[in-house]
Amino acid sequence: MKKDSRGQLPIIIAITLSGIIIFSALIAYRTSLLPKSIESSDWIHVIVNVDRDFKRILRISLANFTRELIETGNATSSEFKARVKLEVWRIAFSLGYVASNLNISIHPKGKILLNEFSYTLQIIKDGSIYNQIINIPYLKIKDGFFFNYSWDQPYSVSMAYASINLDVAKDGVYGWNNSYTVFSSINVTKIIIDSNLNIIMIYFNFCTEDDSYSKLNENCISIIINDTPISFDSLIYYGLGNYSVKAKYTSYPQKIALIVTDCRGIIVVSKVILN
Amino acid sequence: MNRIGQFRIIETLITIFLVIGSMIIAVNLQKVPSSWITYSGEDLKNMAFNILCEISIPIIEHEIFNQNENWENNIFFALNTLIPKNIYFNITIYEVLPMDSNVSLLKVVNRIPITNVPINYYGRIMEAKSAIYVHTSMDGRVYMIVLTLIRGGGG
Repeated sequence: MKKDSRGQLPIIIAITLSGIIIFSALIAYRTSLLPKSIESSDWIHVIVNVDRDFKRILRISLANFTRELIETGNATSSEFKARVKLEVWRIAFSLGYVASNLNISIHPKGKILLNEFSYTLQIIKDGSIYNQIINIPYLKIKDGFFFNYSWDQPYSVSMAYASINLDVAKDGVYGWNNSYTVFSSINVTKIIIDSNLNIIMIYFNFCTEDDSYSKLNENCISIIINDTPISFDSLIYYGLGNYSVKAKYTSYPQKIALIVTDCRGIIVVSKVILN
Repeated sequence: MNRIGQFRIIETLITIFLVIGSMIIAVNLQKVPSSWITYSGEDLKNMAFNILCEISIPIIEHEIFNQNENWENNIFFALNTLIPKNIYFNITIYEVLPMDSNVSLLKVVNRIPITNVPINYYGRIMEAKSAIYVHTSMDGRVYMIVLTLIRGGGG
């Protein structure tokens, strides 16, 4: 009997070994195959789509806001009309991804775009140099608003900020959020006036949140001197958003307004009052 | 002694069969059942979405904005080039028109169907998946583009 039971040892080891091999194979099979076969990528599509498209609608809404503002001068009604565009986009999105049980919301959370700073505006009148210190207060979009503007200074800006929250209930994705800023700004850095030839040259830096700062052309710019629109001769681009514009004036410039409409349709107005 | 020796040989054979048998079972378990059957649905959907991402601005927005006489055909030829020949497609472009604060109307923009699915083919469709892409054009119009990719059963 003792010899018989000793002989069964290899069979017991073999059965154990077989069990281990089959068990390992089953584990490998389940871990490598099953999770992939049930994985859904719908929520990734939603997020990619939101990320690519929301910035576009925010830019268009800001363009709408600035256009309305320059026509009516009423910031409240301009904000209301621009908000309608955001709401249409939100409804379109909810409709498009209705099968994913989407919950999307856009919030006007407000943001400080720029802290207060000062810089020197150089004015050259017939060869004499004058330096004007420009103090810019901090620029923010108030909580509860999507848009704001500051158009009364040599440094001027049009801006929009929105935060977006997203739940894709079908795939169990909750609480995705992101925020987006859109702005266009002009910084008038130097003005040269030649009263003999009645020529004014305005140097300015144009800045945006994307790479569209280099895309200004003659159609994007208009100049108003002493409340009278004037045509200009040339626009020169120096790179990195630095431009100069040369124009002939009829009455000696006291109040200068430079209006830029960028390639996205966002308007920004810069004003300089010469002492 | 002879009988004990025979038992040992039988035990060894049983052991070998058990180990080899379990290895054969393990190897068979490791075979992934035709990966395209498992993944093709998601693959079609991902392909449709990736194509929409890539063509929404340079092709679809451009064609809708310019409104050439045959702009639907231009989109058709672009898709016909981009999508593998064994996959059929059907694209529909809707414009989302606001009616009320919470109600929108969907208007089909393409005047003719943009598809290469043969007539009376629907009975042979093995698999079809759609992807949706919401696109805002430069003039602020919001479009919903639906691209359906179809893998057929041949013939």
